[in-house]
Amino acid sequence: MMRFKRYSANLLFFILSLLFLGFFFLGERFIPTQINLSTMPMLNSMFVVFLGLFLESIPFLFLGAIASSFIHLFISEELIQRMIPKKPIAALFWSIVAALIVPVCECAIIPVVRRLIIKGVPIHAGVVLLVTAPILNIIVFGSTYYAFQKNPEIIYGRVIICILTAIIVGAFVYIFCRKDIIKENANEHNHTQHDHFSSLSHKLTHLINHITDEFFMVGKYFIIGAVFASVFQVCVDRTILAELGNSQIQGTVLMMGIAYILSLCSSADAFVAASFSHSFLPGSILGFLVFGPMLDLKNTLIMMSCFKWRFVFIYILLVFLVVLSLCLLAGVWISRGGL
Amino acid sequence: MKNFTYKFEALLLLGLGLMIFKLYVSGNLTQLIAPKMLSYSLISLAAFLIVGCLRMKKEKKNVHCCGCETDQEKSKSSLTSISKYGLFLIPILLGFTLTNFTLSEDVLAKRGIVQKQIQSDDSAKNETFHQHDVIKVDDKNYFQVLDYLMTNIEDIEGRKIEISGFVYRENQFPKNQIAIARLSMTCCIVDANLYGYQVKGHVKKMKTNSWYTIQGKLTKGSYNGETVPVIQLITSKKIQAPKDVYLYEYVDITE
Repeated sequence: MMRFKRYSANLLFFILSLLFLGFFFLGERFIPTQINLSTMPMLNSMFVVFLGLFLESIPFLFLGAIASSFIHLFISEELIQRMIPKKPIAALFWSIVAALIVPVCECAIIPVVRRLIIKGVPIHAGVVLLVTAPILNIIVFGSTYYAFQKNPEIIYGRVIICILTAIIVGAFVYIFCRKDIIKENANEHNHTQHDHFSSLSHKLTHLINHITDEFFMVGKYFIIGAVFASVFQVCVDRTILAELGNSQIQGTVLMMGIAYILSLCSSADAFVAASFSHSFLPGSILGFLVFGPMLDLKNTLIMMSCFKWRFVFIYILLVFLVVLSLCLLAGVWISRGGL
Repeated sequence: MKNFTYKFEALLLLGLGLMIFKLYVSGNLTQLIAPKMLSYSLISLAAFLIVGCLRMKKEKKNVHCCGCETDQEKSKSSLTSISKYGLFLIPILLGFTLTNFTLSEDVLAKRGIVQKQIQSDDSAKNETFHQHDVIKVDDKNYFQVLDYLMTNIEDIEGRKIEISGFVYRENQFPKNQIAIARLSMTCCIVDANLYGYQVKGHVKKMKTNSWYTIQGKLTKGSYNGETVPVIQLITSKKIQAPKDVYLYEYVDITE
């Protein structure tokens, strides 16, 4: 029986490899002629958008898996505990500074934050990192600056609201949400006993194993998120949305919703936001620019792979409410002309 | 079974690597992501191949180096693991089989033409536009010209312009109207924006999605309730689609 199982497994493996090679060399020859995609332009566009989203994010997803595995295997808990300030408020600001320094955006940060929390970083500090890392980096600031040169209130508003959101959400999480939030993965436990590895090749093998496990764990959720995002990308009519954007509250909620389902990369969303800028108020544009990087369809699913679903739900609700109210306030402020 | 899962994961990683490799070699990768993202893709291509090979290699030894990754997870029902890995087949097979890497018109129509000002008031460059008889638009000055025309919309009436782009039609356009459009991209095709000018005149024969170089006179018009420049067509010439179909917004802050 066992032998049969192994035999069939090997056969399946062999067939799959052949299939890959076949598709690699001949994929575009026979499939498109069998299924004529040019008659289904929407479906083709959906595939294109999905593949674009996948290719754009996958290097960073993989980078996140590598960084997380690296922290897991080579950085001890003591070191992390020594680096992070003991006082909660100091820890909060420490993670804002860390977010400024670390040049990664949303795809890569989630697994890393998960790993850091496992390693003993306080939850609220981790959450602050989660909120600020996608916005507080030089590339994102650069593209926002470029896209909104004539609206400095948007450029600085984005940064300020992001930091305020981080402080409020961090404080809330510190006070109310101190339970463990990490989703246990079945094939990893407390790895402290691994210090017995001595040889480098052992460690390397272990690193490779970890990277693959982590990548596949996060990747499957990411793909589901990317599928949904590409469906919405293709189906949502942005020109109709633009007509609804004149009121402050509706417009802001709408823009945050759009940011959520479009799932743009935070270094690119400023240009898309700029394309909305003539039909939405500045407060609503800020909602798009602040909420989108913190939360969208694809990274909600990545979060679900890393944290308990209850926490993800609370986090989404909290970030949504905080960003919404801050953006509405900012909107009032900007319309009065004060900055 | 554990060995098999390892091998299978390795195969998927190699498949992802091959997919990126194929898109890169066929030149289609830049149709999906912007050139500045290319280096990240190539690094991930290398990483996929290396990790995939190492994962493939280590099937026999070291499997039980520590008790932590034993068969607990792998004993889950094969159905869940099939669906888990099956998801990764979607991008791999799509990357291997897709031939048309453009967004369809319906999708573009849902985004609408963007007409906005993004550049700063670079008066020195704007001066040069004042001097020329014909404003010639190319990939490099595309956004500057757009900005110039949008800010000086009252003074541009009657100026001549020469511009290339593809013909784009929206449902509500009358028969004597098209738009001469370009697509821009920042990171990847997902954030593609459609830019363009409306063109009026004898445009019935101009085919949608074909590329043209046109000359015309600027006038004022409106699009979705905004005052925008409109081109009155004088001449049009069909051209080959350029090598760089996309315009790239914002490359580097220091530039």
